[in-house]
Amino acid sequence: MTEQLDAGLVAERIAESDQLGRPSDAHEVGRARRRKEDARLVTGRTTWTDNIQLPGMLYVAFLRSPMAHARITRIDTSAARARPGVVAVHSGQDFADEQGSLPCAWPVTEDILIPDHPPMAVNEVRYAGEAVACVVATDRHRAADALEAIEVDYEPLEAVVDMTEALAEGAPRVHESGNRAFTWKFAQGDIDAAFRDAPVVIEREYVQQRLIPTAMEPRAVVAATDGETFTLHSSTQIPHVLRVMLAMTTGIPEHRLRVIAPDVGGGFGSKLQVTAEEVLALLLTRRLGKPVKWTESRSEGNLTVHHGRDQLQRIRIAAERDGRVRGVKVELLADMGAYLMLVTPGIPLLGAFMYSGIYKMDAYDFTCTGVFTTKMPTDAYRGAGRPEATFAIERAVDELAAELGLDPVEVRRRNWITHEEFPYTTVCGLTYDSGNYEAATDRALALFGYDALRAEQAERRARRDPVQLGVGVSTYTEMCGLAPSRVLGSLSYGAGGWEHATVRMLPTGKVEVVTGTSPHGQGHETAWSQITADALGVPFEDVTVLHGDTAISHKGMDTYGSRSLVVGGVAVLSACEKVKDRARELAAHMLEASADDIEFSDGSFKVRGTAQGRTIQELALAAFAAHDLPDGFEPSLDAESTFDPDNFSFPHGTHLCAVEVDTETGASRIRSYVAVDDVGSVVNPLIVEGQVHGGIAQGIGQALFEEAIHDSEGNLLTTTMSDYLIPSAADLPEFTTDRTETPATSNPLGVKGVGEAGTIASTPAVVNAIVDALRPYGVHDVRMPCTPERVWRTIAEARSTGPAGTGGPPEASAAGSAPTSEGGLR
Amino acid sequence: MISAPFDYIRPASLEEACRALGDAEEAGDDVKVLAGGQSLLPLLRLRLAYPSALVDIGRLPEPRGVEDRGDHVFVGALTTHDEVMRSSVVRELIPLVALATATVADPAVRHRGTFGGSLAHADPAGDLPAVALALDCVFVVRSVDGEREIPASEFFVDYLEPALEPGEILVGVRVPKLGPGWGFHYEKFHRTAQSWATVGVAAAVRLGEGGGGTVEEARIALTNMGPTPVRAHAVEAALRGADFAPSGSNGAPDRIREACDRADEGSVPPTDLHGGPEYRRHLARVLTYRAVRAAGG
Amino acid sequence: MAMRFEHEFTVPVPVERAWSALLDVERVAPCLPGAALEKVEDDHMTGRMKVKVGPITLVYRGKATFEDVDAEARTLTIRASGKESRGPGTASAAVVARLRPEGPGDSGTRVTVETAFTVTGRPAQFGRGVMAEVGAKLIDRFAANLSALLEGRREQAGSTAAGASGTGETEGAAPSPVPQQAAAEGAAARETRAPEPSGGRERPADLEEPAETGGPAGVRGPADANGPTGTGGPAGTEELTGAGGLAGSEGVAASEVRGRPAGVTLDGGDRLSEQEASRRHLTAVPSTRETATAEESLGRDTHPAGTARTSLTPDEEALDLLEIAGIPLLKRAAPLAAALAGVVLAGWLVRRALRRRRGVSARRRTGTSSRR
Repeated sequence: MTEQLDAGLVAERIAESDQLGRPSDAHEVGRARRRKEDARLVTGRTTWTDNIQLPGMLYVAFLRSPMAHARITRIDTSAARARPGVVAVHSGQDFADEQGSLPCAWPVTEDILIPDHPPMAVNEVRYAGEAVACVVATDRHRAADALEAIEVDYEPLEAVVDMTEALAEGAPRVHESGNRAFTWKFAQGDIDAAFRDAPVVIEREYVQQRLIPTAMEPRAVVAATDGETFTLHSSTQIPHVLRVMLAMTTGIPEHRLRVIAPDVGGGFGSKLQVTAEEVLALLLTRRLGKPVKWTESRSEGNLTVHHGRDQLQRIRIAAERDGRVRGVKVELLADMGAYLMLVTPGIPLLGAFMYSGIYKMDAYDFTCTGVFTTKMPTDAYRGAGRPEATFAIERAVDELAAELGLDPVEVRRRNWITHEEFPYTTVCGLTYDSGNYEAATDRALALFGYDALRAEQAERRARRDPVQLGVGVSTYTEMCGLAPSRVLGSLSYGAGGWEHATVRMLPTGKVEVVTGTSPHGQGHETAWSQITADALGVPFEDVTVLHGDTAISHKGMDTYGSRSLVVGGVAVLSACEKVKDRARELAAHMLEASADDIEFSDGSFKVRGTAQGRTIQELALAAFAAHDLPDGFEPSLDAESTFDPDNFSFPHGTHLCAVEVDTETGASRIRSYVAVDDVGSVVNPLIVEGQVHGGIAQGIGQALFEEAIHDSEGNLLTTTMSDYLIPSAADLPEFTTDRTETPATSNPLGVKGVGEAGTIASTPAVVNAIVDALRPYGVHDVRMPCTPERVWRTIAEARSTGPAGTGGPPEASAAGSAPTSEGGLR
Repeated sequence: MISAPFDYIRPASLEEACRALGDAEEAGDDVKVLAGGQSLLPLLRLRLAYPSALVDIGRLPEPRGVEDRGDHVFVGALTTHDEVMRSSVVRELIPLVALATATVADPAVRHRGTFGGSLAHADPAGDLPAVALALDCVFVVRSVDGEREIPASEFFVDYLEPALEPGEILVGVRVPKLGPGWGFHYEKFHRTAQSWATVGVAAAVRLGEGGGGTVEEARIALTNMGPTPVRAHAVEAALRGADFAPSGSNGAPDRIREACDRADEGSVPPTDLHGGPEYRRHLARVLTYRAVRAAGG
Repeated sequence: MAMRFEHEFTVPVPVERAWSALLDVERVAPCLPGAALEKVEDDHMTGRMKVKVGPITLVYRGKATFEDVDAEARTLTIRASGKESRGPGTASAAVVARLRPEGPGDSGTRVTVETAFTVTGRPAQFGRGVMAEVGAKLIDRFAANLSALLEGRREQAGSTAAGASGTGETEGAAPSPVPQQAAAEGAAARETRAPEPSGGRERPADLEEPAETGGPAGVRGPADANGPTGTGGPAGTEELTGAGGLAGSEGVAASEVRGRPAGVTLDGGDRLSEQEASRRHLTAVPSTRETATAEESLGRDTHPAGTARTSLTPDEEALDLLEIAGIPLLKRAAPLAAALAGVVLAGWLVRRALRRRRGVSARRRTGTSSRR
């Protein structure tokens, strides 16, 4: 069952894919197919939105507020209009009557404040970067140059940067209605009883810093109209959702609006949005009658792509002396930023059900308050709520272990759901359908060399090595496969969570799969082809996957939340089954047999017990010719399916991280990293491998490198990649990855989703390791990102305040003056 | 982002470049020399720089390449970082330059960015200025009036301010060979592989003859510890005569450590998102020790 | 991005005299590097400032005004705001100056200058700490110049501008030999210190386009004051040393300029250590320009740019002068305010401009003296 799959091996094992435990007739699913989209992508034959050129196209540049919070007292666009090549200059006032408000589809409570969110600010700006005017010109250079000539006067208002201060009495208001967007509560079991007389209570506060998603492809929009219909190309994850929302926002009838997501270079949730630029591009093309294009720069994107995370977490765990958890209580402040965008308020709710993690407990209590600040709104970012929850519980369980003097793995063993207890309904009310935490953990410990590392750690502590070793454990699970529509409804989400697929049999026997998912790097074309090839018995190469254009794929819920395979892939399978049912009927007719006597294997429908049969390709042609069809049989084998899952899926895994912390410089170096993930059945191990690698890297980014930093006036200081640091391959260790497999029982593919697993798992693994390395110094936490300076200061502060722990710090090893203050700009 | 408009001048020779530069400056134009563009172009695109003209010398055949000239190695200003770090002359005769150059940014930058451009940009966070300072390099600059030489100690005037006068172009750098007995190290501390040095230390150390392990001479300069690269004179002086025996042996005080504890003297460390002055001072001390140990070891 | 600075110094003149000097725009204006006035209208001033740091160029247009001028309490506040001329960024400042008698028989005056400035837009967003370092140097320089002025040393420093433009009577401007002990920086500064016979007037505009410097006499002052060649000793040395240079420009003993960043934090605890704070406590006792040069090179070492750290205090609200334009102004003080606006607003260096001036003057002399 378990097979170690490192990247190099995977490629070689394409031919051996049957060992991955697939049924013998499933030749494609389970194979480490190289992605069929990659040859085109890596050789530049791509259609990024910015590559699109339309006749007469004009270029848009936005003037953005330098102030985080200000009243606009005057805008004078006349000088800009006079600049060469300038076709139009508009301020928010010009759009005031038609621009509407950017939508929020997730009003999480009845009394939630959803402030008006004009795509272009009219009277007041509430974050630095908010568009206040735009220039449309004949080329992008002239557009950018003309921005200089727009005069804007601002009356500065007080910035609101800090959530706690935002909630204080008398704080300046982001919106008239106040800074508290909502408070959402959820409770199960008797939390007071759990904490009453609890032998051990751990209370910790964690900061989920603000992150910038940093997709490789910047956002870009091309809008065009022929006077009646509108076409919007956008670098988006959600062409279908976008179309509905734009129709509602702009008043362009939905049937006259086509949205295309061409090649899209990553999103990580940041392109799960209805953006101001998309709306304004449509309005501009409507006004001007010409195509318009806008492409953001990286620094513009850092300001105006929605940000992620930004929560303050307080978590309390009540436990028995033996480490068994009685209950967990969580209080969150979630920074909404200045407005509620598409799913802004729902992000913390996606985490609300995951604070119990893989553990059994009797009571759970969760409160989240969404807070307005004068910063870019937050919204989905890889994991969306679940990394925050996993971080808090996994960090806190480590703290519990430290408090009790137990090994962190042991504490987990004492609390986790055992494999024979599945399906298990957690304290949060979710039913985990399958899993095997013991298997994944045991495998990870073995690969990691856990005991040897612990021995080395002890040895380094004993000799007061200035480079200390820490071991971090993260046993995560996540809810994926967003989402059962009924559950979304119960959480007040504005739409369902189903997914659609159409399978078309072409006359020549080739297959077109139309999917409602919208891949932007995930490899759906490959994976859907594998599913289809197996289901219909056609060659992998004979399948084309169409997506990302509402005129082609008319129906879908798009790609996010590790949902595509779990919901969309199942829809593809289901549509294939319907095609097969029709083909069977046709075959029976042609073979003059009863449909019940028709067997299907390897692409052929045969009369049971005979060699007589028809291939699916033959049947496709027969259906096309329609010369000899059963009575009432429509001349087509095509079928479509809309799949709405009954339950979420729950991938899980155990990640182990060894970090060397240089106590002299504060630098942390990841020495080894082991990830054993259980993502259910696997369609393409190579893709899974890629998702895990990228996910781990991104989670490490949060742990060590990334933070969007604002100053007290709300200026974003990390607008360039010199200051917003993301890790590259050079900053990361080799990952050792492996899988265990407990198929999901909630869908016929047995799949669970993998898009977010690495990101969710790795952040706590890394921070747990750093804290573990520094425990002898009296360190209990290092705020993320664990920058060298922050680690160095944390050590110094612990030295000066805390009692020296066991092992003790190597006092004199560094040429160290104790720091007296926090250093850098932050 | 998109830069503001500027005139673009691509001279056919260095002489022409000097003339174009001189003429432009004479005319009151704010003109900049473009070589590899790895520092200047980002500033243009961020619209933090608005030169009225660029004189692009990046495609000139000269001054390019590395030449052994007896007591020194001459590195042409247009030599790319990649060429520098792969040059056997550089690696054998002026290894500190090779060590530091290999840490500059990433391969893409190193293939375009030039040795001279990096120095003339005079960014104290750049890796090469400290090396030039430690090695007492001599900068050769040219204008229509001819050539002159500027010692490294006078070249870095202030933050992003080289001692180039209007109309002058950096032609190349004379890097002295220090002769036998020297060991070198460039200790760069940065948060990601591609990021600027939070602090860097360029060290050259000469130990006494006969395995004595006593420091005869040291040259230390610091990256990103002030508006210009900083020569750690105090450390250099204190190292002289220090015993290089391994740290902590026979309980004697580690004089190398003591000397390196003076690394931040005279520095004016900056503040940015990657470190405050106090942390940088601390880093300078720690890293100087490591650099000296590595150079002498 | 907000920064706060406090400077405190004592000048050996009675408070009345210092106060009147403070209000005397013609003399105060030159204390402010880099700015040039475009227009003065009753209570409105419009100024521009061009700041160059290497290839980085920033041009601001700004307005400024006096507020809360309290002759009895000897305090005044200058509020200024401006915008980038080629970008959306803004800058604003509040400068509070307080004078109080000090010393035997109140023969001296204790001056405190609190400066808070706030910057938005691309310059604020550009990391690498450029802003912080530059801001501190500018404010240091301003405070040092002001100190020199108030104690009388700079009586004509302001007219150094004038000096450059013809009066030529600036004490500080007299060229002096540079002593052997002067550091390399001193040597570099030597060239720049020579008064520029004609350039000062016509080319205050290394900082500014010449055409835009017309206006009241004071207008030339500020611009010139920034030019190392035009300013005589002080500015010429400032380039290298920040505040240190000025204090030593003319030998008045016991003047001290103390700068300390106020609330220099971004993340809570970022305070200067006592040690660093005390290092900023400059005592300049040079009696000649030569020693000044030596001091400067010292000063450079002991003058951590770390003081330029920014502050996150929420009370530093950006101020828009348009809002307070109706407040009666001291008309004479207007240029000061405007210049301050320019300087403070910009919050950046003039170093590039300074260097270029030097370059120009050096080139001019190329015919007669060899370059270093």
